Amino acid sequence: MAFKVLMPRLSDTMEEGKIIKWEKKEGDRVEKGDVLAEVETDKANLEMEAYSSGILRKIILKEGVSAPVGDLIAIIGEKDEDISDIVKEGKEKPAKEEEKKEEPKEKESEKAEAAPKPTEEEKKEEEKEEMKEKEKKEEPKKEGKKETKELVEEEKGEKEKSKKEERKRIFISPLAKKIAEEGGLDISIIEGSGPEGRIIKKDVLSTISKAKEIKPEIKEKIEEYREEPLSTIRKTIAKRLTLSKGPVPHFYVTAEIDMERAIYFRNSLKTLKKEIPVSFNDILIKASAIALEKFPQINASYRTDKIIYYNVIHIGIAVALEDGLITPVIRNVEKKTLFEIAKESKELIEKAKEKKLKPEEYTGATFTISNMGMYDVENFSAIINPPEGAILAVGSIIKRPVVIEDKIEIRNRMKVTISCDHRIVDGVVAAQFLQELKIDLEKPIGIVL
Amino acid sequence: MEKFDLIIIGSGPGGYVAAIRASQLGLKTAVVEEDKLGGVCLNWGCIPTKALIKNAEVLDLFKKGKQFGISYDNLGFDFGSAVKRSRKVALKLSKGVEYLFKKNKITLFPGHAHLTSSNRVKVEKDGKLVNELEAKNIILATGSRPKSVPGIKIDGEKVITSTEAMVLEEIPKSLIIVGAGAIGIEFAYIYNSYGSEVTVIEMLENILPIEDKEITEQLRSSFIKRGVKIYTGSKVAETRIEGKNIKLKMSSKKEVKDIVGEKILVAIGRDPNIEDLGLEDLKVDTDNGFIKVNKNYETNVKGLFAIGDVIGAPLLAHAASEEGIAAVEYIAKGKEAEVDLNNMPSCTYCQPQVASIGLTEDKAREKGFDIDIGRFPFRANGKAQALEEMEGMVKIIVEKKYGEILGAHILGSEATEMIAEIGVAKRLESTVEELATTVHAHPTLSEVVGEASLDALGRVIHI
Repeated sequence: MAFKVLMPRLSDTMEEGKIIKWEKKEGDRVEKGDVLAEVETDKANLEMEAYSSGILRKIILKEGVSAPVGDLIAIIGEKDEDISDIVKEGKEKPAKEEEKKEEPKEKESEKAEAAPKPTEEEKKEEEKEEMKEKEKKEEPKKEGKKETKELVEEEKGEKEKSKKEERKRIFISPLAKKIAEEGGLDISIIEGSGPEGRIIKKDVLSTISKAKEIKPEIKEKIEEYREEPLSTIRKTIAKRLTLSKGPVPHFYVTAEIDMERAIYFRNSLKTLKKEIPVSFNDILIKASAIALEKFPQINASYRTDKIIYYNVIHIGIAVALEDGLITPVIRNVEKKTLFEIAKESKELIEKAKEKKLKPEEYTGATFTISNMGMYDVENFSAIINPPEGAILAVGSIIKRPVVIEDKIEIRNRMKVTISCDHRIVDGVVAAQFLQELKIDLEKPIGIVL
Repeated sequence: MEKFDLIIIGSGPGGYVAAIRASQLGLKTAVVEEDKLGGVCLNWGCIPTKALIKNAEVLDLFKKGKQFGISYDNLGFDFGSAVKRSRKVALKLSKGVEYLFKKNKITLFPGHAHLTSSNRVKVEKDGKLVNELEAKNIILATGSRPKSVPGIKIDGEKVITSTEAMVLEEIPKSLIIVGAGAIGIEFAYIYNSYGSEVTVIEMLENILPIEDKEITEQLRSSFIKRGVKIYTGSKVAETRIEGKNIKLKMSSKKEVKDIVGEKILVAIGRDPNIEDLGLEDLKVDTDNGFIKVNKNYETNVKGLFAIGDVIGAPLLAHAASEEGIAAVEYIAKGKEAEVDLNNMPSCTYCQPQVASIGLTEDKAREKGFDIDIGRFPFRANGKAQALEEMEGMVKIIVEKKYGEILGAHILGSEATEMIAEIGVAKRLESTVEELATTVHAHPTLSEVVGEASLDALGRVIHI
C-alpha cells in the first residue's frame, strides 16, 4: 500500500510550504512519526513528520521548492510497489489547477473584444452583473467562507482518497483553538491527547507552559507587534512594484560612515572586558536596534492585506556556511547590552558554523544584518529575507581620503547599503534610518547610554 | 474455587455497567449481589422515584385542568396504585439487568461477598458459605444507604427513610422531611402533590445546597407557592411521639420550634456500605467511612478497586457507571481514567426540575474566574407559554476571556433532559459562542439554552 505524502498545514494561516531540507533520502526506511523534512511556512520552519511507515519511494517536491498545502510532495510505499500512477497524478495536478485559474480571464477578455458597444440599459445590467461577479469573487476572501470552502474540499478529498492516507486537518476543540490563538500559539505544534489525537484545552495549556519555560518571550507574543490595514495607496504601490521586481520589490540606499570613533570605542571596550570581545558587527547590531526603534517602519513585515509592525527587535545575523548561509537571531536586541549581544552572537555564530542551531534560534528575525566586512568588499546589496522588510549589507572598513573641514584626511570609512521592501518602506525613511545609524556609529557613546 | 479475571461486588449502576464493559473487553467476569440486580438505583432509588414523580406530575396536570378548559368531577387518586406502578417499573428494569448479564455472559453469584484476601471472595447465603471465587482484580461497588440523624431513631414507622417513603400505603396527612438535598426535595414534591402537608428542614442556608443559589432561591419560592413549608439554617434535635403524630424539635439562629407531623422522612445524606466485607483485615484505607481510591479507582490494596457511592461524592448513578467503566478499562487496557467531575450533570426531578453541570456562580467566583453570566427565563419562550410551563430559567456561567462554559444551571419543566446539550458542549470544549450559534429548533424549550448563551455574549434576542 503506497501512501501519499501531502504538504501538511502546519499553521493556521499556512497556504503553502517550502521544503528546506529532506531529512530522508529516497529509498530510506521511515517510521510513522519520523521527521521527513523541514518545511518553511509563513510562520516558521517546522519539522514535518511521517504519518505512515514504509520506504520513502519518491521525493516529488525538491528542496527549496514550494507547494500549496495538500499537494503531493512525496510517496511512501513498499519496496517494490508500483507507484507510477501516483507519481503521474502528482505531476498532472498542479498544471490542471493553473489552467482553471486562467480560464475566466481569457473569457473576460474575449467578451470585451467581441461584444458590441452596450446601450445604456445594457450597461447598467452589466454593471449589476459585474457587481455580482465581484461579490462572488470577493466572497471566498472572507475568512469564514474560505474556511468552510476548504473544509468542504477537504471532506470531499477525504472521501475520494483512501482512509489510511494521512490527514491534513488538525482536530482541535473550539476552546483549545481560542486559547491557542489568543496566546499566539501555532496549533500545528501541539500534540493532541483527546480522542483520535484531538487537541484539547489541556494540551494547549501544557504547550504554552512548556514554551514559556523555554523562551520567555512567547508570553509577550501578543504584544510583539501591532497590525495596520493597508491603505489603498499602499496597496497600489505594493501591486505595481511587485510587477516590476520579484515578489518583494527591493530598493537600495547606501551611505558611507566614518568609523574612526567606532574603532576607538571598540578597542576601549576590548580592554574593559577582555573575556567578551565586542566585534564591529555587535556594535552594528546595537546601533541598528537603536535606529530601528526610531524608524519602526523598517522593523516591519508586509502581508497580503496588512503591514505588521513589530514591537520587538529580533536581529538576524547572516553567517556564511560552506554550503550556504544561515541567519541566527538575537532576540530583543532593544533590551540587551552590548556585552550581552557580543556574548550571544559569538555563541550563535559558533553554533551556526557547527550546524547546531535549533529552529527557534534561526527563525523569527524582524531585521537582518549581512556583514561582508571581513571579505574586503567595498559595498554590496543584499536580498531581503521575507517576511522581513529590510536587510542591511555592510562592507569593509577601508582607509579613504575624505574632505573634513576643507582638508583631505585619511579616515577609516565603511559603506552600508540597506535593501528595503518598497511595499512598506519609502526611500526617505530608508535614508533617515541610515542617517540615524551613521550618527550612532560616528558618536558611539550613544550605544552604551 | 472458581477463577475469574474480575469479580465485582454489587450490581448497582456502578457494578453492572462495569461488568458489561469488562465482558466487552474480554474479561471473565463475576458479580456478587446480595439483593436484587440493579442496586438501589433501579430498585429503591432513581427509577421507582421517577415513576412516583410521574404520578405526581399527572395529578398536577389534572389539578391544572381548568387552565386548559378541562373540567371533571370527583377527581380520585390513591397513592397505593402509584406505588404499585413504580414497583412494576423497578422489577422490569431489574429483570432487564438479568437479561444483560446473560447476554454478556456475566456470572452472577447471589449472596453476600466477603473478601478473604486481596484476590479472593467468599460468597455466603443465609450465613452459609456457598462459593469461593478468585480473581486478579476485584471491584467494590457496594453503594450506600440512608444516613441517620444522631438522636433521631429511624423506626420505619413514624421515622422513615427514602426506602419506606417509596412504598407507603397511604399518604400521611403531614410529613416532615429532614434534609433538602435531591432526595428530600423530590419526596417533598411527590407528597405535596398528593396532598400531604410537607415541611422541609435543612441545616444549610439553601435547599439543594450544591446547586446554584439563584436557581434554588427560585425553586424555594416555587415550593412555597405550592404550600411546602421550608426552614433552612435549621437543626433538628429530638422527637417525641404524640398520639398519632410525632413532634420534632427544631432550632435555628432565630428560633427554637416544635414541628408536629404524622411522619418524619430522614434524607440528610447517605452512608457507604463498607461493613462485613473484610476490608478491615485487608487494611483498606477509608476516609470518613468512604473507601479511598487513586485516580484509577484502585484502593491502597493492589488489585482491589472501588467505585460509586462507596467512594464518596458525587453520589450519583451516572457517576458510578462512568467510574466503573474507567476502572475496568484501566484493569483491562491500562488506560488511565479520565472521569471529569466537572462534566458530571446533577439532576433533581421535582417540578420545576433542577439540572446543572459544572461550576455554580459562587464556585466560579471563588475559584477566581472572571465570568460572564447568561440568563434567560422560560417565561419569554414561546413553547413554554404554550405548555403552561413558564417557571424557571437557564443560567450559564462563562469564563470571560476564552468563553469557556464553566457551568450551566437549569430550572424548568424539562431541565433534566435539556442539560445533556450542555454536557456535550462542555465535553467537546465548545465555547459559549458555539453554543449560542447552535440552531435550536423553534418552538422548543431548548431555545432557552441558546438565548441564555447569547445573553452571556450580550446578544440576547427575545428579551
